[in-house]
Amino acid sequence: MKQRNLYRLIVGVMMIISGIVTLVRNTGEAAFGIILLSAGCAFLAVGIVRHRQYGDGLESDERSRKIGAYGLSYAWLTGLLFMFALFWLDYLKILRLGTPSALALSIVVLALSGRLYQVYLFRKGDIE
Amino acid sequence: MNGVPATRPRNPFYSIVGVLFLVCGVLALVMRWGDFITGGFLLLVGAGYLVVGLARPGTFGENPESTLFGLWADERSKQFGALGLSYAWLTDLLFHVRSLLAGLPEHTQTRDAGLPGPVDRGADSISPSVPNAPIPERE
Repeated sequence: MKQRNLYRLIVGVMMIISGIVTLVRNTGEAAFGIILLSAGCAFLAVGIVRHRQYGDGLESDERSRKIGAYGLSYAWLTGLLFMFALFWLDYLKILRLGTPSALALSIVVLALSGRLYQVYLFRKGDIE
Repeated sequence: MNGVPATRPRNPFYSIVGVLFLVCGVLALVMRWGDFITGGFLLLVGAGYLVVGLARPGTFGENPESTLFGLWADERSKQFGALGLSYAWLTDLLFHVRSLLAGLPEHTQTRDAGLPGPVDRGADSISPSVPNAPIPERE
Protein backbone atom coordinates (compact mmCIF):
# COMPACT_ATOMS: atom_id res chain seq x y z
CA MET A 1 0.00 0.00 0.00
CA LYS A 2 1.18 3.51 -0.85
CA GLN A 3 2.21 5.60 2.13
CA ARG A 4 -0.26 8.31 1.09
CA ASN A 5 -3.20 5.89 1.22
CA LEU A 6 -2.00 4.50 4.55
CA TYR A 7 -1.97 8.03 6.00
CA ARG A 8 -5.50 8.55 4.66
CA LEU A 9 -6.70 5.42 6.45
CA ILE A 10 -4.97 6.38 9.71
CA VAL A 11 -6.31 9.95 9.63
CA GLY A 12 -9.78 8.65 8.75
CA VAL A 13 -9.85 6.20 11.67
CA MET A 14 -8.55 8.86 14.07
CA MET A 15 -11.17 11.38 12.94
CA ILE A 16 -13.97 8.81 13.24
CA ILE A 17 -12.85 7.95 16.78
CA SER A 18 -12.64 11.66 17.69
CA GLY A 19 -16.08 12.24 16.20
CA ILE A 20 -17.61 9.38 18.17
CA VAL A 21 -15.95 10.59 21.38
CA THR A 22 -17.23 14.15 20.77
CA LEU A 23 -20.75 12.86 20.15
CA VAL A 24 -20.75 10.46 23.12
CA ARG A 25 -19.38 13.04 25.57
CA ASN A 26 -22.19 15.37 24.45
CA THR A 27 -20.47 18.66 25.26
CA GLY A 28 -23.26 20.64 23.68
CA GLU A 29 -21.96 20.96 20.13
CA ALA A 30 -23.28 18.13 17.98
CA ALA A 31 -22.16 19.68 14.70
CA PHE A 32 -18.44 19.26 15.45
CA GLY A 33 -18.87 15.54 16.14
CA ILE A 34 -20.81 15.04 12.93
CA ILE A 35 -18.22 17.04 10.94
CA LEU A 36 -15.39 14.92 12.36
CA LEU A 37 -17.32 11.72 11.65
CA SER A 38 -18.11 12.72 8.05
CA ALA A 39 -14.54 13.86 7.36
CA GLY A 40 -13.20 10.61 8.84
CA CYS A 41 -15.52 8.52 6.66
CA ALA A 42 -14.45 10.54 3.61
CA PHE A 43 -10.72 10.03 4.36
CA LEU A 44 -11.30 6.32 4.94
CA ALA A 45 -13.35 5.89 1.76
CA VAL A 46 -10.82 7.79 -0.39
CA GLY A 47 -7.94 5.74 1.04
CA ILE A 48 -9.69 2.42 0.37
CA VAL A 49 -11.00 3.37 -3.10
CA ARG A 50 -7.66 4.81 -4.26
CA HIS A 51 -5.81 1.71 -3.04
CA ARG A 52 -8.24 -0.65 -4.78
CA GLN A 53 -8.33 1.44 -7.95
CA TYR A 54 -4.64 2.23 -8.47
CA GLY A 55 -2.73 0.01 -6.05
CA ASP A 56 0.94 0.97 -6.31
CA GLY A 57 0.61 2.37 -9.85
CA LEU A 58 0.45 5.98 -11.09
CA GLU A 59 -2.57 7.96 -9.90
CA SER A 60 -2.25 11.00 -12.14
CA ASP A 61 -0.49 12.15 -15.29
CA GLU A 62 -0.23 15.38 -17.25
CA ARG A 63 -3.65 14.91 -18.86
CA SER A 64 -5.54 14.11 -15.67
CA ARG A 65 -3.91 17.02 -13.84
CA LYS A 66 -4.93 19.35 -16.66
CA ILE A 67 -8.51 18.07 -16.64
CA GLY A 68 -8.63 18.39 -12.84
CA ALA A 69 -7.40 21.99 -12.96
CA TYR A 70 -9.90 22.92 -15.68
CA GLY A 71 -12.76 21.28 -13.73
CA LEU A 72 -11.92 23.34 -10.65
CA SER A 73 -11.64 26.50 -12.75
CA TYR A 74 -15.15 26.01 -14.06
CA ALA A 75 -16.32 25.22 -10.51
CA TRP A 76 -14.76 28.48 -9.30
CA LEU A 77 -16.67 30.39 -11.97
CA THR A 78 -19.90 28.54 -11.06
CA GLY A 79 -19.38 29.36 -7.38
CA LEU A 80 -18.68 33.01 -8.17
CA LEU A 81 -21.84 33.33 -10.27
CA PHE A 82 -23.85 31.51 -7.57
CA MET A 83 -22.65 33.88 -4.83
CA PHE A 84 -23.26 36.83 -7.14
CA ALA A 85 -26.86 35.60 -7.66
CA LEU A 86 -27.28 35.09 -3.89
CA PHE A 87 -26.12 38.65 -3.22
CA TRP A 88 -28.53 40.19 -5.72
CA LEU A 89 -31.45 37.98 -4.61
CA ASP A 90 -30.83 39.16 -1.05
CA TYR A 91 -30.27 42.78 -2.04
CA LEU A 92 -33.49 42.91 -4.11
CA LYS A 93 -35.34 41.18 -1.22
CA ILE A 94 -36.38 38.23 -3.41
CA LEU A 95 -34.68 35.50 -1.36
CA ARG A 96 -33.29 36.24 2.08
CA LEU A 97 -31.14 33.47 3.51
CA GLY A 98 -29.35 33.62 6.84
CA THR A 99 -25.55 33.71 6.96
CA PRO A 100 -25.11 29.99 7.87
CA SER A 101 -27.54 28.88 5.15
CA ALA A 102 -25.86 31.03 2.49
CA LEU A 103 -22.40 29.80 3.53
CA ALA A 104 -23.50 26.15 3.63
CA LEU A 105 -25.21 26.45 0.25
CA SER A 106 -22.08 28.04 -1.26
CA ILE A 107 -19.91 25.24 0.13
CA VAL A 108 -22.21 22.60 -1.36
CA VAL A 109 -22.26 24.35 -4.76
CA LEU A 110 -18.47 24.79 -4.79
CA ALA A 111 -17.67 21.22 -3.75
CA LEU A 112 -20.34 19.50 -5.86
CA SER A 113 -19.71 21.52 -9.01
CA GLY A 114 -15.96 20.90 -8.72
CA ARG A 115 -16.44 17.15 -8.65
CA LEU A 116 -19.18 17.16 -11.31
CA TYR A 117 -17.10 19.19 -13.78
CA GLN A 118 -14.13 16.88 -13.24
CA VAL A 119 -16.24 13.74 -13.75
CA TYR A 120 -17.78 15.26 -16.89
CA LEU A 121 -14.41 16.28 -18.34
CA PHE A 122 -12.84 12.89 -17.52
CA ARG A 123 -15.73 11.14 -19.28
CA LYS A 124 -15.39 13.48 -22.23
CA GLY A 125 -11.67 12.71 -22.34
CA ASP A 126 -10.39 16.20 -23.09
CA ILE A 127 -11.11 19.78 -22.15
CA GLU A 128 -11.77 21.09 -25.67
CA MET B 1 0.58 39.33 -47.30
CA ASN B 2 3.96 37.59 -47.20
CA GLY B 3 5.02 37.07 -43.59
CA VAL B 4 2.54 39.62 -42.29
CA PRO B 5 0.00 38.08 -39.89
CA ALA B 6 -3.57 38.82 -40.88
CA THR B 7 -5.32 41.07 -38.40
CA ARG B 8 -8.45 39.52 -36.95
CA PRO B 9 -11.53 41.67 -37.20
CA ARG B 10 -12.43 43.23 -33.87
CA ASN B 11 -15.34 41.38 -32.34
CA PRO B 12 -17.93 43.96 -31.36
CA PHE B 13 -19.77 41.72 -28.83
CA TYR B 14 -18.02 43.00 -25.69
CA SER B 15 -18.06 46.63 -26.80
CA ILE B 16 -21.79 46.56 -27.62
CA VAL B 17 -22.68 44.90 -24.31
CA GLY B 18 -20.40 47.37 -22.49
CA VAL B 19 -22.07 50.39 -24.07
CA LEU B 20 -25.53 48.95 -23.29
CA PHE B 21 -24.58 48.44 -19.63
CA LEU B 22 -23.09 51.94 -19.44
CA VAL B 23 -26.23 53.50 -20.90
CA CYS B 24 -28.41 51.54 -18.45
CA GLY B 25 -26.14 52.58 -15.56
CA VAL B 26 -26.24 56.27 -16.48
CA LEU B 27 -30.02 56.09 -16.95
CA ALA B 28 -30.45 54.33 -13.59
CA LEU B 29 -28.39 57.01 -11.86
CA VAL B 30 -30.01 59.97 -13.63
CA MET B 31 -33.61 58.74 -13.48
CA ARG B 32 -33.08 57.39 -9.93
CA TRP B 33 -34.15 53.80 -10.72
CA GLY B 34 -33.30 51.80 -7.64
CA ASP B 35 -30.44 53.28 -5.63
CA PHE B 36 -26.91 54.32 -6.42
CA ILE B 37 -25.55 50.77 -5.86
CA THR B 38 -27.59 49.42 -8.78
CA GLY B 39 -26.49 52.25 -11.08
CA GLY B 40 -22.88 52.03 -9.94
CA PHE B 41 -22.87 48.29 -10.47
CA LEU B 42 -24.21 48.65 -14.02
CA LEU B 43 -21.59 51.31 -14.76
CA LEU B 44 -18.77 49.09 -13.47
CA VAL B 45 -19.93 46.07 -15.49
CA GLY B 46 -20.25 48.23 -18.60
CA ALA B 47 -16.77 49.67 -18.12
CA GLY B 48 -15.37 46.14 -17.65
CA TYR B 49 -16.99 44.85 -20.85
CA LEU B 50 -15.86 47.92 -22.80
CA VAL B 51 -12.24 47.57 -21.64
CA VAL B 52 -12.15 43.87 -22.56
CA GLY B 53 -13.83 44.56 -25.91
CA LEU B 54 -11.36 47.30 -26.81
CA ALA B 55 -8.27 45.57 -25.48
CA ARG B 56 -8.63 42.13 -27.05
CA PRO B 57 -9.87 41.89 -30.62
CA GLY B 58 -11.58 38.69 -31.76
CA THR B 59 -11.77 36.95 -28.39
CA PHE B 60 -15.28 35.64 -28.67
CA GLY B 61 -15.69 32.69 -31.03
CA GLU B 62 -13.09 33.61 -33.61
CA ASN B 63 -9.97 32.48 -31.80
CA PRO B 64 -10.07 28.70 -31.37
CA GLU B 65 -7.18 28.83 -28.90
CA SER B 66 -8.98 31.09 -26.47
CA THR B 67 -11.56 28.79 -24.91
CA LEU B 68 -11.30 29.19 -21.13
CA PHE B 69 -13.61 32.18 -20.53
CA GLY B 70 -12.00 33.78 -23.58
CA LEU B 71 -9.17 35.22 -21.52
CA TRP B 72 -6.10 33.18 -22.39
CA ALA B 73 -4.70 32.74 -25.85
CA ASP B 74 -1.98 30.07 -25.78
CA GLU B 75 -1.62 26.64 -24.21
CA ARG B 76 0.87 27.67 -21.52
CA SER B 77 -1.05 30.70 -20.27
CA LYS B 78 -4.31 28.71 -20.33
CA GLN B 79 -2.72 26.09 -18.08
CA PHE B 80 -1.41 28.74 -15.68
CA GLY B 81 -4.85 30.35 -15.62
CA ALA B 82 -6.58 27.04 -14.89
CA LEU B 83 -4.12 26.26 -12.07
CA GLY B 84 -4.58 29.74 -10.60
CA LEU B 85 -8.36 29.37 -10.62
CA SER B 86 -8.06 25.90 -9.03
CA TYR B 87 -6.14 27.41 -6.12
CA ALA B 88 -8.73 30.21 -5.97
CA TRP B 89 -11.47 27.53 -5.78
CA LEU B 90 -9.68 25.80 -2.89
CA THR B 91 -9.13 29.12 -1.06
CA ASP B 92 -12.80 29.96 -1.56
CA LEU B 93 -13.94 26.59 -0.21
CA LEU B 94 -11.67 26.77 2.85
CA PHE B 95 -12.72 30.36 3.56
CA HIS B 96 -16.41 29.38 3.46
CA VAL B 97 -15.87 26.34 5.70
CA ARG B 98 -13.88 28.47 8.17
CA SER B 99 -16.57 31.18 8.21
CA LEU B 100 -19.29 28.59 8.73
CA LEU B 101 -17.40 26.90 11.58
CA ALA B 102 -16.61 30.25 13.19
CA GLY B 103 -20.30 31.11 13.23
CA LEU B 104 -21.51 27.68 14.35
CA PRO B 105 -21.31 28.06 18.15
CA GLU B 106 -23.47 31.18 18.07
CA HIS B 107 -26.18 29.33 16.18
CA THR B 108 -26.13 25.85 17.65
CA GLN B 109 -25.07 25.99 21.30
CA THR B 110 -27.85 25.74 23.84
CA ARG B 111 -28.35 26.89 27.39
CA ASP B 112 -28.88 23.29 28.46
CA ALA B 113 -25.23 22.60 27.79
CA GLY B 114 -24.23 25.53 29.97
CA LEU B 115 -23.09 27.58 27.01
CA PRO B 116 -24.41 30.88 25.68
CA GLY B 117 -27.11 30.39 23.04
CA PRO B 118 -28.27 32.45 20.06
CA VAL B 119 -29.48 35.90 20.91
CA ASP B 120 -32.94 36.85 19.62
CA ARG B 121 -32.85 40.52 18.73
CA GLY B 122 -36.16 40.55 16.87
CA ALA B 123 -36.86 40.34 13.14
CA ASP B 124 -36.20 43.98 12.35
CA SER B 125 -33.08 44.37 14.42
CA ILE B 126 -29.98 45.33 12.46
CA SER B 127 -27.62 45.49 15.41
CA PRO B 128 -24.28 43.78 14.78
CA SER B 129 -23.76 40.24 16.02
CA VAL B 130 -22.09 40.19 19.42
CA PRO B 131 -20.44 36.88 20.30
CA ASN B 132 -21.19 35.57 23.79
CA ALA B 133 -23.72 38.35 24.42
CA PRO B 134 -25.65 37.88 27.69
CA ILE B 135 -29.12 36.46 27.25
CA PRO B 136 -32.04 37.04 29.56
CA GLU B 137 -32.93 34.37 32.07
CA ARG B 138 -35.87 32.08 31.27
CA GLU B 139 -39.01 32.57 33.29
